[in-house]
Amino acid sequence: MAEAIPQRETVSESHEPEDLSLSQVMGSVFAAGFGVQSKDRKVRDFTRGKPLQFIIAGLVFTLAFLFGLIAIVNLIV
Amino acid sequence: MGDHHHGPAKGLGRWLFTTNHKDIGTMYLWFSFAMFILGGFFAMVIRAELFQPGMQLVEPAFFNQMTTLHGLVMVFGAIMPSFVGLANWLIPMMIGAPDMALPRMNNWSFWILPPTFLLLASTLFMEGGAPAFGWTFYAPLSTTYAPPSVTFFIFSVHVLGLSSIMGSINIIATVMNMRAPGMTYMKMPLFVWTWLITAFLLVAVMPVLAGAVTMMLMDIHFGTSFFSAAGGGDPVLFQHVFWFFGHPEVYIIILPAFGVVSQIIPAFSRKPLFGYDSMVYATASIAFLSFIVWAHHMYTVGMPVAGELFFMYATMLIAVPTGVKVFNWVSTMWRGALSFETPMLFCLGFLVLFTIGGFTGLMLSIAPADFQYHDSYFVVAHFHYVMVAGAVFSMTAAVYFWLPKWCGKMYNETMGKTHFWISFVGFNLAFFPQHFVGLAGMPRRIPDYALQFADFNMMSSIGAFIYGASQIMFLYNVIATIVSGTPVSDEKVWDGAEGLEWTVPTPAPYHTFETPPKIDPAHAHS
Amino acid sequence: MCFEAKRLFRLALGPVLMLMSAVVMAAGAEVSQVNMRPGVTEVGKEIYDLHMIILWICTIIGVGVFGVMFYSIIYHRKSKGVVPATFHESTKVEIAWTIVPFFILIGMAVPATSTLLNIYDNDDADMDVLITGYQWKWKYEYLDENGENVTFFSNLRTPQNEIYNTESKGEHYLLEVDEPLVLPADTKVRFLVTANDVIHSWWVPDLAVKKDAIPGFINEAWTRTSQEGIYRGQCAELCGKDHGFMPIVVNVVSQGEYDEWLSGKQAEAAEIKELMAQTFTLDQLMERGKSVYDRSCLACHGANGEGGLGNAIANSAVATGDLGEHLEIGINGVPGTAMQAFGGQMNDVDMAAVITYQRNAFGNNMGDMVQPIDVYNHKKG
Repeated sequence: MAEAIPQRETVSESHEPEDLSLSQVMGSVFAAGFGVQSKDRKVRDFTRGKPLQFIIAGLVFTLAFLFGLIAIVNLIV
Repeated sequence: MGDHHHGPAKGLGRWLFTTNHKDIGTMYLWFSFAMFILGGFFAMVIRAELFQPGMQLVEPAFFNQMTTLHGLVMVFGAIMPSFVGLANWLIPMMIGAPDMALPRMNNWSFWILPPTFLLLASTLFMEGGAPAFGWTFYAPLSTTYAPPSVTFFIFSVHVLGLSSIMGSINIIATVMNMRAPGMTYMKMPLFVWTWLITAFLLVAVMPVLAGAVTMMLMDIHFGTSFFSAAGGGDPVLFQHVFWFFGHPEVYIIILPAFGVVSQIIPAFSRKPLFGYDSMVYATASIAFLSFIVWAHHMYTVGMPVAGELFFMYATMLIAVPTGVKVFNWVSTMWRGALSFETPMLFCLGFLVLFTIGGFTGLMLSIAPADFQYHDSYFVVAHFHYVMVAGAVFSMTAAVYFWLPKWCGKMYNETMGKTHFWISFVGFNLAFFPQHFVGLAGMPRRIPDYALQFADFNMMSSIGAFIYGASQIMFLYNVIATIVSGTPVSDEKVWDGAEGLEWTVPTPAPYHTFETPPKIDPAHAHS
Repeated sequence: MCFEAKRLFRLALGPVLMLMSAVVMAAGAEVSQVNMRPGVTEVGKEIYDLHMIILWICTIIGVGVFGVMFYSIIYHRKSKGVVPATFHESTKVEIAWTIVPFFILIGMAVPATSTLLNIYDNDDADMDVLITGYQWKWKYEYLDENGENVTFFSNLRTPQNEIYNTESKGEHYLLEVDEPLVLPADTKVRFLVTANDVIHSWWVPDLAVKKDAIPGFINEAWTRTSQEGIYRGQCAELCGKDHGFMPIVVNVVSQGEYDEWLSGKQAEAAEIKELMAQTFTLDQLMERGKSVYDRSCLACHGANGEGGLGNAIANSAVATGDLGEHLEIGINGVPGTAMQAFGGQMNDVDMAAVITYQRNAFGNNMGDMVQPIDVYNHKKG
């Protein structure tokens, strides 16, 4: 949810905002699933991130989580 | 605020036609308190009947109507509207907005509630009695075998869902569009965050509930067989649909409570909330997980073992983000400068008792152990620790905390503290013994029980009466404050309180933030 | 910032260890009135162990968390002149207290999974019992390869007078039935659980079996115990008015006693078959009818036929009307209402007796009667 609606800081820094790398996006989504995130990364996500990136990554993470769990269960049964 | 603004209208019209978020919030809060008393009255009937073994006061059929209405009224009439009322009062003030985004819808979403509950309560006087199938209304007890009043029940649930969805849309629209400049998402108070996430949950699951009751309606009146095995349907389908709504529903109830506690504990610790960012992420995580754990309410329906394992693992994972929250609250208190006014006492009560409820929740998540816990009083104890000590305690804390700001008068602190201690003792006396009788084998929803459960049930009834009676003191304190409380001397009321809602005059004027405030970075969580 | 949180962690550990030792010493004195019973089956003991492990884990974590909290409450008071610290974040500590519970949970999931797989291992059963939940009684059917099934209903035996407090309550108040389920010890018994009307749930804590009985579906569960004895349970799923009044009693006996009991039941069934061919007098039918009525009809229609959840029988249009219609309602019920089809629940002798009783008791005095053969013919159509 947080990822879906980031707000750009209007009083932003002067340097060009560059896009987040794939690993950074996935890392933040994983942090959301996990429930712990540092302030620095949050600021980074909310200044440089794009909503769509996080929505897509969130969906991918959700599916991966579900199928991961299903795979573990099938391994046992 | 300028003096050219009009104040509230006069007379009954003020309340009927109001679009003011504070008026609507007030009405929600009073309505939910009335429902709390009504639902509490039903609970008192239940506990009075269970005071001793044997049937004394009511017949078994009526007892079932009481448990059903108690659950429905408390969940849909008391807890949910109370937090919507709080959201109405506080969200615009917390984000620096002049009102809710959709004020007319706001009025409507409140005013459809009282007639709905009147309708639901009126089923008690109908032929065949009120719904008697539990607040979880499992088919086919709620379809083929239901009293005729079930149709009124279905209609009520539809309207309640409508009200909740409208309220949620309003909150989402307000939070997304009405924030004062500079109030970025990650500067919003946690109460606003938890409500935003709750609102998304509500919009996602209330239609599912509507679907469930619509299928019931079709089965009862239009000859379909969604839930009837005789016609090729599946009674278990009902439970899947219901709990797909029902599990997020319990988080709908508890997340705003998390928000309240996250506002109050820092205020009386005089220290910023520990791990604000993680709290937001943990809330999102809990909300997400709440969608994939529903069948842990159904471990004994005969799911394939793979299903059991999936839901067991997913459910156990919820303990992680929930733990994060509890640890963060305790760390917020750590090395703070604590003081223990009534709101803080209720929050500490919340913290201790909710944690106990969380632990029993973890125990219940273990599928094999749940074969013994399921549908016993252990479950009853668990969810009352979460719902009453969780949601109701935090709601009570919120009223004591913000009431002085709302009406500009201070409540009676001694009476507030007395209310807390009586509530705390009464609550634990009522619900702690229920863990014991549940583990010893007492099923829930029975009007009479075997002799071995007698002592703890009597204890439980006494505790319930004490807890119920203490709410009269609460009501008196609130009314006395509004009518004749001592005016608040300090504008801010609490020296440790942070947030925009404390920057407006006391009492909060009818209209606030008609010009957006400047966000003072010192007040925001960054 | 980080230092603060570390100190917090260390402090949490002390009281935890102290309480752990105290609690372990107290653990010997367990009373079953306040805790789960280990029961008499292997699965039950496994579940009990799981329950105790998770309980201790929760207790230890709880003591740690509450210990830190109460330390704060006592020492970090404004009234003591404490200047509040300002730390509000420590990613490292937060990750630690996320990872640690995660591993604890994995530790829990392993034994839980193995117990669950054990519970679901319904194969290789020595005998099958079909359990059917009815509003508000249980039907037990011993499935036999030769089709010689033994079937009976198990009703609450506690008299209404005890329930309504006009007589003192017996030792097994509400947990006693007219005919218990009898099982042989040391035998793997598979239960096939279903229901006739609404959802019920068959729960015997000592056998660690709880399975929902769902109309139209058959669930499986199993048990095996070496301990002979009487085990009591109740319906666990809300099933209507008398949900609290449909107990379960299981009598586990030695194989020899079981065989004797089973052949007794088979002989009884043969006897009923013989009775069905007989013609009874009105008095015989009335006598048998009263006991059937009290067992099967009284809950809904009242002790004097005055009605209740069901319609009144005294002076009713049905009981004083056409005999065929009366029989039809008794046998096939009234669809869409709580009046069940009793044709499958009672034998023809009992049905004949109870219909006769209803037509001649409560001042109905119709003077007519039904013979078992009439019931048989009605069923045939």
